[in-house]
Amino acid sequence: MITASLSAGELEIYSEYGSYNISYEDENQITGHKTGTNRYSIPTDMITLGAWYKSSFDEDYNEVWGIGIVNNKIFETFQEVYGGKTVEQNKKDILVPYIFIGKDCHYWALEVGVSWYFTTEVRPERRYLDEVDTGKESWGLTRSESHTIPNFEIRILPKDWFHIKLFMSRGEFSPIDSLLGINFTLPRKKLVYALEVSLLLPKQYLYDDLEQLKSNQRIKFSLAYNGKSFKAGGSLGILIKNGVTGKGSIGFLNTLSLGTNISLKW
Amino acid sequence: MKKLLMLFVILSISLFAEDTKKEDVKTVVTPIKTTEVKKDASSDKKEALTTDQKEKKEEKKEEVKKDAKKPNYSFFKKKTEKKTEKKTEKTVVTKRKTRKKEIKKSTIRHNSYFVTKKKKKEKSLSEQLSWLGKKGLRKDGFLVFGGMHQHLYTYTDRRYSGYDQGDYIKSQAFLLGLEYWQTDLSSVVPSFKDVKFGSTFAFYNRAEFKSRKLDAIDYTEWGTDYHIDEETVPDDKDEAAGHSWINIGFFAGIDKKWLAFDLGLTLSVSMYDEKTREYKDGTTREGRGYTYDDDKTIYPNLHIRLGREESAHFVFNVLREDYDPIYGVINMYVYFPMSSFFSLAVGGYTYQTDAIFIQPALKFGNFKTALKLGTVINYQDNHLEKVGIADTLFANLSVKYEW
Repeated sequence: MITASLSAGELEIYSEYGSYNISYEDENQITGHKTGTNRYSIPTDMITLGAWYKSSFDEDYNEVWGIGIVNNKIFETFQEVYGGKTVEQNKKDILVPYIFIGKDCHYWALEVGVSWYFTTEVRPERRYLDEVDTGKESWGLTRSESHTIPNFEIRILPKDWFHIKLFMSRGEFSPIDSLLGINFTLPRKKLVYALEVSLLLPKQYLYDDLEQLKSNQRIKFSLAYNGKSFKAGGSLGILIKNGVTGKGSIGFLNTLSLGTNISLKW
Repeated sequence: MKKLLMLFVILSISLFAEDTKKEDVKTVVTPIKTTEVKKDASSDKKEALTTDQKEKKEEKKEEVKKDAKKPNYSFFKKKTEKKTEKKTEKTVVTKRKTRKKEIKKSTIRHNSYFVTKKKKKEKSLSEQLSWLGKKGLRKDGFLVFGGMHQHLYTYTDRRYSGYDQGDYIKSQAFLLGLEYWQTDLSSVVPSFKDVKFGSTFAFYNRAEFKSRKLDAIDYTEWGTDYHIDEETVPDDKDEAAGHSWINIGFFAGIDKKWLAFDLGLTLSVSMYDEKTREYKDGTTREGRGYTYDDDKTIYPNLHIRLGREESAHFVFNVLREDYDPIYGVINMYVYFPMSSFFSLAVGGYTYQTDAIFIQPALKFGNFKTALKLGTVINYQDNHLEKVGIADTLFANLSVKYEW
């Protein structure tokens, strides 16, 4: 079982469908201001599409390199919640291209690189207060929500055996739901079982700033069929904590996400 | 019966007769006339010969003994022949194998992605971890760099609608820097073969911000009339004055094959050109010229390389290499050597701005020239959401010489 060799190349394409929950505070509610139980969420559709490619370029030293790109589309929504107050979400697109290099030995692997987190939104045209509102909208880069971050993936134990991966902006990640996380994988004969737990970013534990990079926290179960030169499977995710938009009660179905993935090896 | 008896009698008679013949034959030994051998000279010669013969015989015996000691060529020859034959066979076989390998290598397609890889013997965990201590390239060198970009002064303009009320004034900024390092300090301390020591210097200057006048406006919102007075930004002349920063630092670290780690300190001093001084009574006086700011700080500097220096590797810098003293204090990149004379680095800044850049480089002997081109994604400033793309571009040119 423990005889895996470094594959020459690997390509994976994955997708995910879930909900992006926008939380708001019901100011009409008297109770719950201190505990936060007066906060609610409204959902909107969110689709994630990603692909990555990894290849070995020096077999003698087990060196690898790779590139990847992930696109997260959040659909717009507009809802009147109470007393004329509306909660809205503009169309939002998060694009994360990344590049990495590393060393993939049998018992462990360390890959590091750079990721660029671009957030684009549909925004109304900026005008002076004494000017007429034309109502025009356009796509624009939301600089306060765009970042340059390091990415890494650390694998402990052989790939063909039970192994643990600590990752940031790598693998089958979602920029909103699982930017940083731990993955436990158990390959067993032709099937591969995986459990992924995404973590909040370190800054989220220290303070809450609108412009800082944030991630949700969720658990994802994956099952894949591992063929000779390909792997195909699906996943089911459950949102645990809404770290991006904040605390707010969410319906159970709006916490679920479904995903598929297919990878080719040669 | 009678016949049998007669036969028996005949047989017994014949036997008796032979016996009698033997008994009857008496050997008569007649004396043999022997001739006496006279001792002549010839007989002496015979004796001499015999001694010679004896000597020869002895010599022959000795030779036989020697021959016996010597390897029996007839017997051992085969074995040695076999050995040599085996050796020659072996050398022929190894030559054939190496030749086959050479042929295989030359015929393997360069697109190795589609070639099935043979499983190689896996190294043990201790063998895999032993690479940590391997020596690096141990090079000395210096790096000279310079660059330019627009430096933005940000402010809040309440005249804009919505939450995006940030705006900016730009001024030209340029930077210059120098870094020197020396590896292999074994001449100082014998065990410091992989130790690196160096110093870094950077100068950054931004021109004066030209003041901007914001007009007064009147507007109506939710049925109420509002008025905003005229403003001038920046309102503080010292803030608008040209500023310069000088960073001087030193560092020390280790430079191994797979890992380089440098740590040091950098003193950052800022100055501004005070042209005038204004007082409450409305009078102005001549400024003091270049004056130190209170903004003097000592920062740590850091350089981490993961991967082989001659191959693709990842670098993380804090106030090191060809950094931007204001916009690119913390930067990181992935380096790819494309060929012996061309390489490409792709990376970004993470503090004080978030940026993306690419850095192609040409190598001529010990010289390496690199051009860094990039754009700022996020100014990490609450005021700035909309910035013109041309105002976010930056360029750096660096020349490195290593020996």
